[in-house]
Order: sequence, then C-alpha cells, then structure tokens
Amino acid sequence: MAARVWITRLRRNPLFAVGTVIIVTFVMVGLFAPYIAPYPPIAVDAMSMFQGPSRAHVFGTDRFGRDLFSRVVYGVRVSLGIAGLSIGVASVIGALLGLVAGYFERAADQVLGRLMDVFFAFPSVLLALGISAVLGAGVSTVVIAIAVVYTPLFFRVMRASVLGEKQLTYVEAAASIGAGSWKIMTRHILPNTLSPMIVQMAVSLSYAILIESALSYLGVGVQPPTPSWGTILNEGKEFLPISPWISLFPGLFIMLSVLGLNFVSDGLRDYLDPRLRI
Amino acid sequence: MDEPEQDVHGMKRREFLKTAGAAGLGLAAGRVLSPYRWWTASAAPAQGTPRRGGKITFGSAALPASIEPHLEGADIYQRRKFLFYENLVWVDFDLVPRPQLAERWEERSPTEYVFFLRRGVKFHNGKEMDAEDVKFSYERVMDPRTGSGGRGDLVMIKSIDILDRYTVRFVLQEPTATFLVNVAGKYNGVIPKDVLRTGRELQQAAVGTGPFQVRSFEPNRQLVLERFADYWDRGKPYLDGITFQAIPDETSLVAALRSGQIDIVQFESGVNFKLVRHLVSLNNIQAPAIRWVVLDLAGDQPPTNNPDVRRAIALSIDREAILRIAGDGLGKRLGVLPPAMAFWAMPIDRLPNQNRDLARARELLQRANLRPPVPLTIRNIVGFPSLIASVQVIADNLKEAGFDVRVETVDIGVWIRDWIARQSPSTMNEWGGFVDPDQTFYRHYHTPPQGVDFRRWNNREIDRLLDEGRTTLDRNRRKAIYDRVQTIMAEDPISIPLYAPNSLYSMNRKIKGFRPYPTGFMFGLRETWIEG
Amino acid sequence: MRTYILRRLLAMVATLLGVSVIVFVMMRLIPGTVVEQLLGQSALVGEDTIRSLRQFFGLDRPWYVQYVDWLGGLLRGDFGNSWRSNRPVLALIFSRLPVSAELAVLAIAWSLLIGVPMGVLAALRRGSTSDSVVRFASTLGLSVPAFWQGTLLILLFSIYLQWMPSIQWVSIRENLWANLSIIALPALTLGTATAAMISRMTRSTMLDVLGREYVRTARAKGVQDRRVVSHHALRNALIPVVTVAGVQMGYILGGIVVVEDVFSLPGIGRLLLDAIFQRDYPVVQGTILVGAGLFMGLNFVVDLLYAVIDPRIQYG
Repeated sequence: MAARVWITRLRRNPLFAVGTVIIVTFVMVGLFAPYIAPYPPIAVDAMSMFQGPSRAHVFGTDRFGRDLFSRVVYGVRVSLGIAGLSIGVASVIGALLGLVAGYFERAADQVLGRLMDVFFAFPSVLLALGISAVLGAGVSTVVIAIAVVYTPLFFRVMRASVLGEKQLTYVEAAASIGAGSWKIMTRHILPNTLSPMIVQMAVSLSYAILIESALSYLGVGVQPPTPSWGTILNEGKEFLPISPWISLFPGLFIMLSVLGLNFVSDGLRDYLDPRLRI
Repeated sequence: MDEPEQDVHGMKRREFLKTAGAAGLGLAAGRVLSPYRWWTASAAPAQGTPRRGGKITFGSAALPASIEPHLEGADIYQRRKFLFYENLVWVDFDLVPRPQLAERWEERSPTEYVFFLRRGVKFHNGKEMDAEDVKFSYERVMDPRTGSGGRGDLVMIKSIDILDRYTVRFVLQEPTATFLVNVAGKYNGVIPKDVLRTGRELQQAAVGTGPFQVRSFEPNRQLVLERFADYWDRGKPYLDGITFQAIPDETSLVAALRSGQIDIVQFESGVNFKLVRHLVSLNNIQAPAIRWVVLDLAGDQPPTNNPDVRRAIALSIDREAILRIAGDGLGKRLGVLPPAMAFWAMPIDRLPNQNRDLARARELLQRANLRPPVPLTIRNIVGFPSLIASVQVIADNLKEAGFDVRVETVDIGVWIRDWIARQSPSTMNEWGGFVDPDQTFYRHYHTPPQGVDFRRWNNREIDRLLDEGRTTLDRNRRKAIYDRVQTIMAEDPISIPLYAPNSLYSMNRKIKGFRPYPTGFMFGLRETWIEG
Repeated sequence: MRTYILRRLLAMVATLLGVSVIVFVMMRLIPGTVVEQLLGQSALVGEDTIRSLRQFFGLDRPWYVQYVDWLGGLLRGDFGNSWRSNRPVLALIFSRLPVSAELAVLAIAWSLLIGVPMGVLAALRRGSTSDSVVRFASTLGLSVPAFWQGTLLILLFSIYLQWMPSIQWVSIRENLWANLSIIALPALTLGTATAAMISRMTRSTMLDVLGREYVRTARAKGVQDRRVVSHHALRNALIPVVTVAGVQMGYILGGIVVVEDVFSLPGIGRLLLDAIFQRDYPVVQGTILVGAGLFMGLNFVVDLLYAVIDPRIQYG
C-alpha cells in the first residue's frame, strides 16, 4: 500500500480525505499533547472551579479547576492509545487463531469456533464490563477487555478469508511442491488476507473508542485523574445543569475521532474489499 | 447561613455502590449524654400543630436490595429501617438513650440492666411483643451463625434472661459505657420469635413494631410504607404513608422535586442542593452530620510506617480546598471527630497538624531520609464521587510536597475484603454513624483481639486510653480521656480526617416537622406531617 | 430444513452452556463476594460469622459443585433466588423485561422507519446532494456515543426545556402517553446507531439490486419507477436489511445497559448492573443467560425469516 495509492484515494473520495485529516490530526495532537496543552491535565486549582469557556480556558474548567482543553488533549493519548493497543492485540491473536482454524479445519476449527461463538454471544459492552469487573478498573484492564471482545471478530474474518484462499490453485500448487504448512500459511495465505483484516481493524478501532468511553462513562473503565474522554464525561454528568461544557467537549472529540475512522474505513473498504461494501 | 443548621450526610456516590454496605460502622453510643443541642436551637421546628393524614414520596439516589433487619449492613437501608423496626432503647436527636420498647430500665449494677417492657405493643402481624421476642431478637444478632455485622456491638453481653413476660435482664461481662447505645444499634431490631422458618423470610417483608409497616418492597427501586394503625405510641405517626423512590440520577431528582412528583429529597450531591436552595417553593435544610471523608494510612507499609511521613502527609493536604471541591463547600472541617459530635469533638485550633505547611512537610520528609519524589500508593473505591474527588486533590497536594502519588482504584468488594483482612494499603474511606467516641475509636484503633486496628497502628497508649474510656462511666472523665485520644491521633495522624459533609434535604413547603438526625437515620419522619 | 433447525438449536444449547460456564466462573473470579457486601467495611465479626455466611450462600463448596447445582436447578426451570432480596430470579427478570423489551422494540422500529426510507432515497438519487447528506448523516449516527447523545437530550429536554416525564415507571397498559413520554428519548438514543447502520445497508443493497438485470428489464419495459422500486428492488434489498436488524440486537442489548443507566430506567440492564455490584450471583447468571438466549433466539428467527423471504436460500 504505497503512499501514492493513498493519495489517489484521497483525491477521489472527499470523505476519505476528511477522515484521514481528522485521524492524522488526532494522532499528532496525541503525540504532541504536552506542547499543545496549556496546563498540566491534573493540576488542581481551587480558585477556578467550574469556569465556562473563556480565553484562559477555551473549554472551561471542571470541579477541580482543571483546564478541560488540556484534559481533552491528553485524553487523545489515553483514548486512542487504548483503542489502538487493544485492537492491535485482538487482531494479532484473532488472526493467528483464525489462521490455524481456517488452515487445519477439523478439530482445531471446531474447538476454536465454538469457543469464539461463546464469546460472540455476549453483547460487547457487557463482556467488557464483566472482564473489567474481574480485573479491576484501570487502563490495562480496559485494553484487555476490548481485546477479548474483538478477538472473535478477527478470528472470523481471518478464518473466512483463509478458507477462501485455500480453494485457490496457487495454494494447492505450493502444497504439491512440498511446501510445509507454516510456509504456506505465512508466505502464501497470510499476505492475501490482509485486505479484509485492515478494513476490519479500521472499523474495530472506532468501536473500541466507543467501548472504552462507555466503560469509563459507567465508572468501571479508566479511573480519574487519568483523563480519558469517557472519564471526563463521567466526571461531568453530575454537573450537567451547572456546567454542561464538561460533558460537551469530550463527547465531541469522541464523535469526531469515530467519524474520522468511519470515513477512513469506508474508503479503505471501497478500495481494498469492494465485496464488503456497505 | 440561611438554612437552619441540622444534621447528616452529604456523600455523593454512585447509586449502585451505595447499596453495598459501605458505611457499616457500628452505631450506638454511650449511655453518656451528649448535648447535641446546638442545631436544635436554630432549627426548632416550631411549625404549628401536627395534623394527621396524607402521604409523601421521598426521593433518593439509591435504595437497598434487602430489608432484612439483622443482616443488611447498607447505610441506605439502615437509615430507613427504624421506621418499621424498633429496639428496647433509641438514641434521641440529642444523642441521649431514651425508652422505646422498654418503658424504663434499671441499672442494678454496672453489669446488670433490667428492662421493663411496654405492655400491649403489637407487631405488624398483630402478635403482642413480649420478653421472649426481645431475647430472641438480640440473641439472633449475637449468634455467629446468623452472620450479623452487628454482633461486635453486643459482645459485652454475657446473658439475656427473661424475668417475666414483660421484664428482661441483660448481664454484661464488664461495665461498658456504651451498652445502652449499642442496644439501640443499627443492626438490631425486635422481631417476633416465631416469624422465621428458613431464616430468609425477612429479606423482603418486614414484621416489626415500628410506626410504619412495609406494604411493598421492590429491591433497589421502591419501598412503600403505610401507617401502622396499632402503633403503641397512640396518635403517631402523622403520615398515612411514605413511598421511598430510587432515582439514581440526581438531575432527575431535582426536576421531580420541582414538578411536585416527589415531596422530599435527600441529596448526595451538594451541587444539586445548591441548584434548588434558592427556590422559595422549597424548604431546604442542611445539617452537620456524623459522617466524614478520611485518608487512612497503612501503619505497617513504607513510607507510611514512619510517623514523620504521616505528619508530612497531614501537613501537605489542603483541607479547605478539599471541602470546597469535593464537598461543594457544604460541610465542616474537622480535627479528629466531626463537629456534629458536639460534646466530644475537639476544635481544630486545639489540635496539631491541622493546617497546610509545605515547608514543614518537606522538612519532615528530609528527617525521614526520603528524597523526593517519595512514592505513595493511595487506594480508592470505584464509584464514590466524594472519595474520587478528594483523592485527586490530595494527589495534587502531595505532589507539591515531594510525593509521587499513585491512585489505585479498586472495586468495593476488593476494598472490603482487604480492609477486613487488615491488608489494606493507605486508602480513602468514609466513616459515620457513630454516636459515641468509643464506637468511633475502639474497634478501629485498639489492637486485636479486643479491637481490629485496621490500620496496623499498634499504639499501646491508645489501647490503654480506649480501655479506660470504655469502662469509665462518668461523662466528664470520659471526655478528658477522649480529648487525650484525639490529641494523640492528631500528633501522629494514622487517619487524616478531611471534611464532614452536611446532610442535605429539600422538601416542599407543605411538609412540616421533619428533623434531620445526626447519623442520617430517618427518625424525623415519625414526626413529620403535611400542612392542610 | 428440519435438520438445519435441529442443528441450529443444538448449537445454541451448546453455546448457552458455554456462556453459563463463563459467566459462572467470571463472577467467582471477581474479587469480593456477597458476604463482604453484606457485612460492610468495619463490621467486627469473627471468622465464624464469615464462615457461616459463606455456608449460607453455598460459597464454601468448590465452584464446579456450585455450578452443577445451579445447572440442575436450571434444567428444572429453577433459576434460583436472589441472594439479597430472596426473590425468584425469573420473577425479577420478568418484572424488568417489559421495560427493556419495549425500549429495544421501539429502538428497532424507529431505526427501520428512518433507516430504510433514507437508504432508498440515497440509492435512487445516487450521487445527488441528498445521497451525500444521507451518507454523511448515517456515518455521523454511527459515530455518536449513545450515552453522550442521551446526556445531550437530557440537557436539552429536562434541563433547558424543563420537560420532565414521570420518575416512576408507567407501563403501556397503565397510561400510553405517560409511558411514551418516559421511553421516547431513550429509544431514540438507543436506535440512532442502528438507524444509521440500516440506512447504509439499505442504500448499498438497493444500489446492488437496481443494477441487476431484471430491474433494468422492468424499467425498460416501461414499468413505473415507483412500482419498480416497491415491487422489485425494495423487496429484494430488504433481505439483508432484516439480517442487519437481527445482528444489531447484540448492539441493542449492550446499549440497553448504557441507555438505562443514562436515563435511569428500571430495566434488565439496571438489574444486571446492580446485581454485579452487589455480587448477587444468581441474578447475574440468570440475567445474562436469558439475555444471551434471547439474542441467539432472535438471530435464529431472523435466519429463518431470511429463508422465508428469499426462496433462493435453502438450509440443508
């Protein structure tokens, strides 16, 4: 996937372009958060509680007098970081298992498939909720919970495309000239399954952001003072009548980042995997 | 202050966690008279003649899962239970033990009390209450097989003997200053001897002797009480019924109060109270409470095993800021005991280490040979907004003094498990419900086996003073003992009290006669009436 | 067909069994039990008290014994009683189910009502401004976190407009209007993402169908556009939409927990959250099992419907 291809896509599909710009911006904001945020995100200031948006505090302040803009900016790191990490873990594990199940079929497929079905039977938010109850709230827990929720999805995508690839002649050819399973899997099948996986990753990233924020909003995800967008929303809900801005901006950022990812994944899907187009 | 000053609590925690037995500290207190009068002076409910009739709806953030009289430790339950259960004795609004099911009692010796029961007291099922029921009920709480959290309050009882149908004798192991208050304890309640078969009958239905009976109960959602016509105190209560309605979202609570869907609210959040308190259509009451937010240090784990570090922590914390931020400014600062325990509490200015002094804190750290940043883990409980708010201010405060604070948030189940097992690291906590300093201090700070010494402080001088305070019956001598205890606790702050949130109530103006009770219990509803 | 149904049912039972094991083990892995919850933080009790409480709840036995015991009850149709309130778990669930079911049905209904026409419109006017608006709006709909949308609605209606529905749950039968005023905003919130999903799905399948031979033939034969759309294209396009609506049940079930929290509705989600925090194992287990069963059952029904609507599909 050369950069050139991407650029062509950008030109042809304006929404894809918008999405890319949003995501790149967010990643940059996350990387340079300390330079962008005007205040430390956890510095308490009892003299400036509940201030509305102003020049000094563009997003206002919360009950601790903390600058919400700084918190939301640092929240980019936390929220996107958790989403990226958890989907990374889920896709690697799910892909490996899916590869094994799809390639060997039979027992491996039966056992893994059933197991994944069981996890699939839980609504994702509930499963994540249960896992975070077991492990105790916190950043690493949220990562694990989301990873567990999404592993079955990557498993299915990978298994399906491996099964598809196996029908194709070149795999048979490779097998007939005596290539080992491992070699066939990694050299021949894996590269050809990348497209659906990438599309799936982009979609899942957006859901991961939503799940993280939902868990944190319910109070069982990222814990204060660590600023994730969901956590800030959780802290703001008590003060909705007197300072709605606390609930406004982090939600806006969640929406924007998910929107960006959706545009990007739509674009990727059109390009990489037109069959899956929705 | 534009509201009458009164009692109780203002902790804002997430509703589902409230149902956990978070503030299950023992109630009951000394036979000692604590003149808790200073709020009564300003809040005297001189509101005309009580009138019978009418029903009210009481909104609150959370309701309990069970109404079992002897097992349920949840504070949100215990606040309400004495509307339908009663004890031999109750502790009145001034924290003085008064007759309830016992008409009077005699102290035949410091270890022998004889209670003379009221005659003709009916249970809600129509049966007459007698000595058998009293003996059965208290022994049920004392029996380890029952599993009541109130067992510890009654360990001083050696035997309960029935002298005749209306006379019961309690024999104690040793003189105990808090015996009567413990008899009135929040885990107790007299039930009919023959109502239990499997032991689970009273989780969802209640058979007590109280002024109201439970008409229906939906766990966590709704508790409907109706007037008990055969109540022994003729003419009481005034209300025909009370519906307790759980409304987890306080914003809706405010709206429901304004629209008249509910008549009275107890707020957990000061913010919402502030929103309504300027409304002339409402009567808003805030009352100092026996309830406070505290940072408890682990006496056996570094760095808090060093008294100098403990002092440094106490000196680094900006308690004013915490009261403003976490307590919405609606509360009181406190030294060791909350101002609501008026007779016992020593004022801040007579105690050391009460105000922020960063220079001195850094000096103490140096003396302890610790170079900043000094790592310190503070545990916190998921879903308790006032604790979560306080710990964030503390973390920021301590950072300035040279600590590197890590906040470890755990579920309440974990928290309780480690706390009971005496393994908790330094932690945020909320206490309340005590009416006597013995209850506040003894089990918390006395070393085992008599106490639990949850914080592993291991302070022998405190042990000695607490033993003395428990067996001393003279009130003024006890006061001197507990003054000494408070001074020691401020000098070596193993617990750092942060602020005592007020109890916050709003009600429509038709509701008269409601008095807040210092521990937040709803005794006041017995006397509440609706203006015609 | 019959073997297919049988096979699916068997697979469902197997999956439910798996779900039950996982929930059971998971609850027991969560630190802290109902015993500590009952006792409170500083109850001064000895080991004997704790032991008798553990015994009381059967927690002293190994987990697999507890599991077999519970499973035995399930097979007899007994979900056990709540540990805190001592109510039968099934009764608790059925007392809350109407709230959640109504919420889910209304959410799906309005998402179909909005989603399908929007998708059709966009497909028919492919490339036009309305197409772009629909595509943008549906992507936006997928991107709004439900709890945030709910919060904004509360801000607008309850706080700014002071429009306050009854705080006590009112069922449809008691008072239709009061019931709708309680549930309208939650259902709107819950259905937004599904509406967006359905509109996207409708659009793309409509495009697909419109491009097919027979539709083009029909158009060429001079059949009116409206007839083409309603008789030929839409019918075929709706098949995958039905599937999406079914698959979205999973999202809806999870969303119910969040939305009931935001709007303080006394449904299944609330029951489950309360039970998890109170460590009321029988209630958690029962609720999740019923939820997962409903979810799988609905998917099954959707698949069968699929076969009914689309004669080309045969299960063998």
